[in-house]
Amino acid sequence: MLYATVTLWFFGRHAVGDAVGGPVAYLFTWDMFPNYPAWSARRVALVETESGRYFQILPTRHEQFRRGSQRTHSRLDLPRNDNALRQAAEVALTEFRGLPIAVDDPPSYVFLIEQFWPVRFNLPDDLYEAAYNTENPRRKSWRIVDESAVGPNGELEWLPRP
Amino acid sequence: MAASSVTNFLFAVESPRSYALMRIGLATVWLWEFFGKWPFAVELYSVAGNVTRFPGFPEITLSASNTVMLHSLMLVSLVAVLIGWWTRLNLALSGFLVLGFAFQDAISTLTKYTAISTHLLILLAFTQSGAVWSVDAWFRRRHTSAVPLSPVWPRRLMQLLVCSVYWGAAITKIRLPDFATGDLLEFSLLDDAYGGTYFGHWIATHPQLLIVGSLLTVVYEVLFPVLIWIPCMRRVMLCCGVLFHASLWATMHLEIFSPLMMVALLAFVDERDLRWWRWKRMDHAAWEWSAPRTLRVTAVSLVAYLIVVGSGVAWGFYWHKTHDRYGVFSGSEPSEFVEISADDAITMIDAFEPDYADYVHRVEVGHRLGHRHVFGDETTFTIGEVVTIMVRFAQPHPQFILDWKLVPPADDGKTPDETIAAHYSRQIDSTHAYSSIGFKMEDDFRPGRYLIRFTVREQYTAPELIREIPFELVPQ
Repeated sequence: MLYATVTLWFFGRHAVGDAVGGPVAYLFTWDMFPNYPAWSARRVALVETESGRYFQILPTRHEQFRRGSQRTHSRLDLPRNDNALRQAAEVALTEFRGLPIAVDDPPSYVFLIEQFWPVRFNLPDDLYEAAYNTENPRRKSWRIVDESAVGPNGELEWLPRP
Repeated sequence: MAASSVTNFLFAVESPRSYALMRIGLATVWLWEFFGKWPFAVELYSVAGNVTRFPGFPEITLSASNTVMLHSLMLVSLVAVLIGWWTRLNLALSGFLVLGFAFQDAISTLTKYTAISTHLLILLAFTQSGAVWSVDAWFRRRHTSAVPLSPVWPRRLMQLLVCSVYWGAAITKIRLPDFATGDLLEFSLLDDAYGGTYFGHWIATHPQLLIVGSLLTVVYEVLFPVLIWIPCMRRVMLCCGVLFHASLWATMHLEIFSPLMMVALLAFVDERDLRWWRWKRMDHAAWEWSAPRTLRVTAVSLVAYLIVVGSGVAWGFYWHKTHDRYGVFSGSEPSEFVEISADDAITMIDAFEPDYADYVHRVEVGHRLGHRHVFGDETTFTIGEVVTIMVRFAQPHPQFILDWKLVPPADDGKTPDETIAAHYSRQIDSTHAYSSIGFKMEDDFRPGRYLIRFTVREQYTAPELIREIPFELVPQ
């Protein structure tokens, strides 16, 4: 009775459009699948050092898991939670600051960057040519997702997102 | 009478074979999923990785060693569910561990199908799913041929779950303005995270198939929870369900969603169906409520089980420790960070905007404007008709100015002149997903090959040619 009541209660909330949050609501709300992306993306993090050198700090060997249709998405490429990218960058920056190279040339700025392209470029070449009467350009662009100066003790203050 | 029917509907007892099928299917699906994640358990669930727990879920700090052992325990437990060994205990244990790991990794493990399968694991723990086709049954048969019956109420709750999943999904889709146009399905198929088998991509290039597919999806999701309760429609709807999820499997990369939902549909399969499928009939007289184990059999089974669990967990830990792909057990050197050349870094940081053409997802040309699609021949028009064009943009996009120029034919009637017969501009706000326009082919237009030149620009940028749309204007 309890299970049926909880199921029906959350179904009712969903039916009237009342988005209840929290783990229990997630387990009982069936709203598949409300979003679709118009762009594909892969994400990296760069640090700029005081001398002007750049290092890629994400993904590293701590991000080996891959998923997606081609098994090319790291967890950070999944757009569900941008804060995960910040969190991973903070962990990676701490590790980077522990390296000898960072002692001599400390990091001064962190960029969280996304390479992105329209999802239609994911079409196989033959289907793209048939649908659009032109060759699949497969061009990609970059954009900054987040950025922050690095404080003397490695602290980060992320700029507001647009 | 009515009370008796309700009691019978909820509390009758039945053969455990459909539960056993569900148990085997569910364990197989989960083993498939979690064996793939097992080598990455340290990254996904431990403090040595990048744990991203679900907001509101209790903070659980798992060391790499504990994570590996618990994840290995979960796999052993799922194997025990698969073969039906200490079935109820392992259903509850694996359900608990699946739930914990899922909320510990809100990005890549927690999904709606994780939630569905957790429901099924927990509900199966209240059934006699281990009474047949299981190690438990093998132990039991050493003393009695009787098979315990299973109460029907867990199956009713699973049926309620399946129906609420379908109706919930239908409600979500009905609310989305882009669903009926086929756009939600199109972008989902083009997505490289969850969409995109070759067949799915092929469908994504056929707008009318997308509309039909979208409508059929919502019709199925609305009708299944109704028609499945009509006896003469039950098997038909089960076949439709299998077909529906098989088609999702063939077109999208939804991981375990399709096989999981096929397993969930077993909640609507009963003993009559198994006989219909010509499976060996079980002697009803041989079923009984329970068949007590002897103490000795229980002790032997328990000791053997504990030895297997301990060995499995120990081997799992040993494997991770020897392979140590994250360097957390050996305390090895930290990650190597690749230096990027300044030129490459500046290319990335400069963050140049995409070509305007990249924002234009689709251009449709035809005679008639439907619901966010254009229909009819796109190459030939007669005088008096309207050349209708609709553009679908990829969102988000900047604020644009669209320019449409109609170029008439030259004197030979075959090549376009460079003079402009008509010119329209329209500003598109960044929130707009569509833009449409129509060119009336006036009576004084002469027949020949026309061209519509479609360009996009921003306020102070040069226009970028997106597409030239040629068509023939013929006399009436």
